[in-house]
Amino acid sequence: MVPLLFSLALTLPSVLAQNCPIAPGVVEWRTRPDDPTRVYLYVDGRQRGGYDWAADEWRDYDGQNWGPPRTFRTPRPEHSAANFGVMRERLADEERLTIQGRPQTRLHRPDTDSLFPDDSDRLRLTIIGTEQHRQAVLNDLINVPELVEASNGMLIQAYSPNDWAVADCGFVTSGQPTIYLQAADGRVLHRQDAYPGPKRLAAALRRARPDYDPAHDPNHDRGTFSAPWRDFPPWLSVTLLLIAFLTLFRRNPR
Amino acid sequence: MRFLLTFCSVALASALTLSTGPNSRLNGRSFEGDDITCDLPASEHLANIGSHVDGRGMCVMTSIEMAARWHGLESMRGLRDWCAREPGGAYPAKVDRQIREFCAAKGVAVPPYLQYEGSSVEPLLGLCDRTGRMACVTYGYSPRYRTTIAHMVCCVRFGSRFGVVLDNNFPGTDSYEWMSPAELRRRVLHPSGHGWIFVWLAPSPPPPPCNQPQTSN
Repeated sequence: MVPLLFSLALTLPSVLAQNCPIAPGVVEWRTRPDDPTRVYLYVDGRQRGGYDWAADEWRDYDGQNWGPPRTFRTPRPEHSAANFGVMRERLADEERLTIQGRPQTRLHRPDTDSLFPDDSDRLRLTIIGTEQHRQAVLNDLINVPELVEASNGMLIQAYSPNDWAVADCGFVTSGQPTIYLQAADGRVLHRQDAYPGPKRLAAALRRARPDYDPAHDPNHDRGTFSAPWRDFPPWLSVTLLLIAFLTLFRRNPR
Repeated sequence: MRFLLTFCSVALASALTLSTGPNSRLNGRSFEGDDITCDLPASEHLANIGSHVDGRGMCVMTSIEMAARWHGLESMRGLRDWCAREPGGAYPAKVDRQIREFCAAKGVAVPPYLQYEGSSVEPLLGLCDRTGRMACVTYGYSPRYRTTIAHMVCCVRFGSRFGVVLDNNFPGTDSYEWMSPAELRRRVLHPSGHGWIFVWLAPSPPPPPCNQPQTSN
């Protein structure tokens, strides 16, 4: 960010001097944490413009309205190339990785760890059905904790029955909906042709997972141990105490 | 007659050389025992068009929408034509803006995606191949064009033996361009030494179903 601001500070005066009547004053660049690719110019505390460095767009700001975008970077001359739609002159000179437009600052080398997870060995959960049937399952996969836990780490896809990805590939598509759990190599670990609710699907997924081990089931009830006699009716407690007293008395008559 | 035969032979040899090139060849889904990873059916292939505004090419959004179809992102259907209402030609920041605006106009969430600019393209292309993802890559050269080009295509295979390209100027399941991975890398980076890759992060389609292997007692 500092080199960017420095370079902007060097280049802006010449640009602004062309048609911007800003008098020299206290100049500061401000950023916003929710707007990582933009910096805003303030002169004497008043906002004068903003620069989007990802899009290379500067806009003047007069306090009420934003001006038209202007670019700073000098366009590189195009090679004598047939251009089918890539604006090569707007590609970054330096290495850059973004996810949904957000720069990933930790990129040193694009080794596989810094890109995205290798999910090639994950289980695949596929829902095939009408929009309504698919959405019911998808909503529960997000909102019902039991199902969220049972499907954790799975690659989830949902398709219409006539989608090319499932229509002619051997999938049963007549369920309401059809739900598949597959290993990464395509082996079907579980299939059901209806959706009886999140609890039963969660149970089925747990049983079908090859990595399922009941010994690792979490028991969230530990630590709340309750003595069984707490639930006895009062008359039974009194009776038991009386029997115990009489037994002791008979053994020690004197 | 001899002159005619000689002429025809030379012409045929030249045509074959130009159409396939010395370092790549056109083929179907399979070649020498290797298969493409992203086998998108021809009915889902998209041909490049010019912008309705200025006629500039729409190869970037054509590739991105084709990849979206591979990843089952139905909400992205129509992205290319929606973007063609603006001037053509694209770069990463413009892609960010257009996807954001397209999703806002349709009222859908922006699906996760990644963009990389740089020269170390092999790790990303290899990861895409392992995970079944269709990468959209810059393409600077092909014998089909006989010159340097500014183009984006879909990489449907990047294995140890072959890299394969689905070119939106030549869609169809019999028009895949097969080459060595090193040659594909060279073409992605040509001519500047920097490439641009776009990848949807949604999972690839599920593999065809099969039964559990039989166990013998």
